[in-house]
Amino acid sequence: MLDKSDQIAVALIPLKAGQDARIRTEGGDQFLRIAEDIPRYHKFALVDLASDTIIRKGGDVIGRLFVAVKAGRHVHTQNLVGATLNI
Amino acid sequence: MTQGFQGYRRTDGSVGVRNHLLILSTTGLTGPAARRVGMALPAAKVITTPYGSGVVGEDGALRDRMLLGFARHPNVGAVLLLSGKPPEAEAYRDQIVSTGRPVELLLLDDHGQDTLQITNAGIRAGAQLLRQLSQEPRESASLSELFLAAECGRSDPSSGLAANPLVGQIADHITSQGGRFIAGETMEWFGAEHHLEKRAVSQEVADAIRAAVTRRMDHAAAAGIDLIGNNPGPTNIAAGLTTLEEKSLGAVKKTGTGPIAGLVEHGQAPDGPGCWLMDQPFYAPESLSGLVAAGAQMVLFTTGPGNSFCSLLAPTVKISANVDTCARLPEQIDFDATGILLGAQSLAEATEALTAHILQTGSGALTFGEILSEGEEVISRVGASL
Repeated sequence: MLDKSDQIAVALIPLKAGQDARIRTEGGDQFLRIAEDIPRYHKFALVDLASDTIIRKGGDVIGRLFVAVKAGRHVHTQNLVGATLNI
Repeated sequence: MTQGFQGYRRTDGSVGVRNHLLILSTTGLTGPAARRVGMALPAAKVITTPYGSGVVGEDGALRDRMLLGFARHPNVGAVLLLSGKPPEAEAYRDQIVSTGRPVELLLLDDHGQDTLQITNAGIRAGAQLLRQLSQEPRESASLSELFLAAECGRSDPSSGLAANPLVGQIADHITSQGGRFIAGETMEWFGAEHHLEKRAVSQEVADAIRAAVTRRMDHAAAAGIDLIGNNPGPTNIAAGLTTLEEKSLGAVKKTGTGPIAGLVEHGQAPDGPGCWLMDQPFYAPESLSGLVAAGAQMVLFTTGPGNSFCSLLAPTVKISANVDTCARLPEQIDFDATGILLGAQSLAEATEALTAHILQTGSGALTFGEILSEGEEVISRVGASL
């Protein structure tokens, strides 16, 4: 987890479905059950997120969800799109 | 400790980290002969353009800026100029001579339009220039005499998380010592303009940055390009980058955190020290060529899954923080920055190691791109020919 305003974290190692990942945060380590395989350097949701949520990474807006995403699931092109580009 | 390197002092005040003979063909007719001369003299660097004549307006100005930028580059010690267009080639020669570099001009008109004769003359003249260059010694130069460019190609999230912030540390360090730093790839400021604008030294520079991004995005829209799936491209997406904003926010980290002195055009040399931006295309070949034509002596090139493209004239240091890439491409990645994300190395430790690597490269240590001859320079076109 890069910034306390982020709702996502980045997998620094490949993560497997069902595994409890250790999440580094400013306030210390937390654990989260991973819901699907996450390739290295890809993003996953830290909490259940509703559709239309603006997503931040490192505190900066990187896009908007166009479907809801559950905690521990992969956040990528299947659910996230640029917030300022037209679609 | 004074940090420095051993370079080639030019009479125009610049310092080269290499002492290249440049074989420069400025017309389409002389390109093949220039390449033949280059094959006979493998130590020389060859740049050709098929667009010799009929290039007008903005295109003509861009062509002059790029060709003269390469010919007067700090890493170029001498020039062998081949042309089929006498008045222009003579003007180029005079502008190169004014920087104190030896130049030999070979015109098709002086060789009876015979490209074999011009090849023969070129090999002989080039051999003399190479011998002369080999006798020139390196001399001590300081970090402040470095002009570094940054590029990212085939980025992934490790670029934005580690490799680009590392290069940004170098940008801050070099500029704090009085050196110059430049980065371009305008489209990859989109979504991160606010970070760049607030670092601009003046409102004019901030406005110019925003206007440049708007122009680039309008240009894509006018061409009917849907950036989704195009930038980030398929390689970026497979590696974990989802949106252009995410890619841009990672990309701009390579410019550091210091003041942005100004915005220059593609291939235009900045007129002072500090951190500069160049308004230019974002794909590596055109982008690198513009940064190098502006006079950057060396390029720091970050990559996620790997990118082989290098500048021909400026040693291009490939940097990756992706553990798979560094394991898979040991003859492409010059600097392994994986320690940062693995927690094995602090950003400060990596910065110190990269600074030492840059100074070593500046003093003559070869990059993999130089060893494998990956380098090339590209002269962009913007409009129609006559």
